[in-house]
Amino acid sequence: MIDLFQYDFFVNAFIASILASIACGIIGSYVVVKRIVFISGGISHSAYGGIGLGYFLGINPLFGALIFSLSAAGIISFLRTRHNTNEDTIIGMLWAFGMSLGVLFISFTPGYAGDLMSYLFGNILTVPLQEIYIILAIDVIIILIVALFFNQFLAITFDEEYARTLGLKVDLLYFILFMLIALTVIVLIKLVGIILLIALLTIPAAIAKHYAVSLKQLMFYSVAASIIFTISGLFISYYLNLPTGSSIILLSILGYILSYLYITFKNKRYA
Amino acid sequence: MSFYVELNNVSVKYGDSLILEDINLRVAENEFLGIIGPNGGGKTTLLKVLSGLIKPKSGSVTIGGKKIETQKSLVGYVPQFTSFNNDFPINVLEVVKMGRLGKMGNENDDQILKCLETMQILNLRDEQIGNLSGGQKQRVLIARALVGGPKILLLDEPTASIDSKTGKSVYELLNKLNETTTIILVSHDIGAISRHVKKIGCLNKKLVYHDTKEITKEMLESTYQCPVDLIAHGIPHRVLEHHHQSI
Repeated sequence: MIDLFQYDFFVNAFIASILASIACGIIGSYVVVKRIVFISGGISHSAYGGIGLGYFLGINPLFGALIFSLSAAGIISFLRTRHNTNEDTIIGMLWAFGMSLGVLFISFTPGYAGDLMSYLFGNILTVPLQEIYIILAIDVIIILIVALFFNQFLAITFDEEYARTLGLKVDLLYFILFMLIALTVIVLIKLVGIILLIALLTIPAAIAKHYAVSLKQLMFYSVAASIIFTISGLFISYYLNLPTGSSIILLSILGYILSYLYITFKNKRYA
Repeated sequence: MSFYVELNNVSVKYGDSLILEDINLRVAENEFLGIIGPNGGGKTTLLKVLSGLIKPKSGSVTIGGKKIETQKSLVGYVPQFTSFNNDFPINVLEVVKMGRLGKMGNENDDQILKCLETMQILNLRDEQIGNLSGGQKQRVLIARALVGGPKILLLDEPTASIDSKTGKSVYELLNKLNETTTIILVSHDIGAISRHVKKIGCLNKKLVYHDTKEITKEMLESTYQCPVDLIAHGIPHRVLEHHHQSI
């Protein structure tokens, strides 16, 4: 196992997994307690439009994805302030709009879009050093903002209406939170890909929720669970020559089922 | 400084439907006003107007003569305890602390503990919110509103879905708080309200309010728009006196 770390690509993948788990565990905790999985799905899938745009213009597809997911997050937080009853329909449209646009851009692009699959399903083994710095920067942004607004985010996710009566700027705080979700999406694209990242964003937090008694604890447990799944997925995929993204996700789902069975069994025994 | 609450010609619309129509109300300091009315009659909406959550289509809402928007910190809002996720990982102390967010002296722990004690939930402070009974949750939400030091307490159905014994103890706590705080609560539980409040109003889009503690058959019938049998055991027009003696 030690000699694996002689390869740069493996060391990069190892570091990227840990760094991505930090963003994923913290933001995934909010996604799970506030039950905004669908919104997060909309933000992440619309990023595919940016991937396509990146190919078309010949720039880094991740940069295009960043612009698209941030815009989607902005549009969705605006929709929320309008109390639009069709909110989830429009999020669904945004979701499909991004995907369709991506496919369209790629069809316009001459030549073969070789590593397109890696954006859809992830390929952590190809993450370059430069992208590790990007993930690190996003981690720092997320940790700083969450530390700064921890109590405010707690209030709006626990009881949004009450937070309004306190005079908190609830809409602005949600805007910030959705922006952080968009940034987390970018971090996770290389790890597990656009299609699968919603699972990695939510499963570790869903497992952590079985044990955590506070939001802070939920975040720490989620980060830990995410690290365990991504790193073991990494090794499994290397030794068994399986796709990394799928390995990580299947492992997470297995982890969730085991944890769920354990909790149900435990509660029954003490009930 | 005075903290009377005043609503002048307040109307609220959701889309095309009129929820509150031409509400006029003046609530004096340390008043205890109960508002009853049918479901969908606008009770919760009225509370949201009073807490500044909903801006009325027309009319004015003032506290001590100043616009509600600038006086939000004087108001403590107690929503129904079904308003949040029960499985949120958070304990009682954290929920109550929330009430001091955005207020001066955020770190005032003594006052928070005092509020927990007043509401008789000090022993539950480390308990997860989801593990509490309905009555305990209600106390937590009242404590959360109290730590902000409100002059006016607004409560939405404080005894809905809790048993009548627990409900009674919640009202007894409210009566104690009422010595220093104005309380306005809405409920469809006419019996419980009439035993504990000082004034009663009936709300069904329009507010019928006579600045008294009596509910008359006429008030109820105009509110519920159908004949109502008062649960007054032979004294159809005076709910209050009779029940008062039975406690």
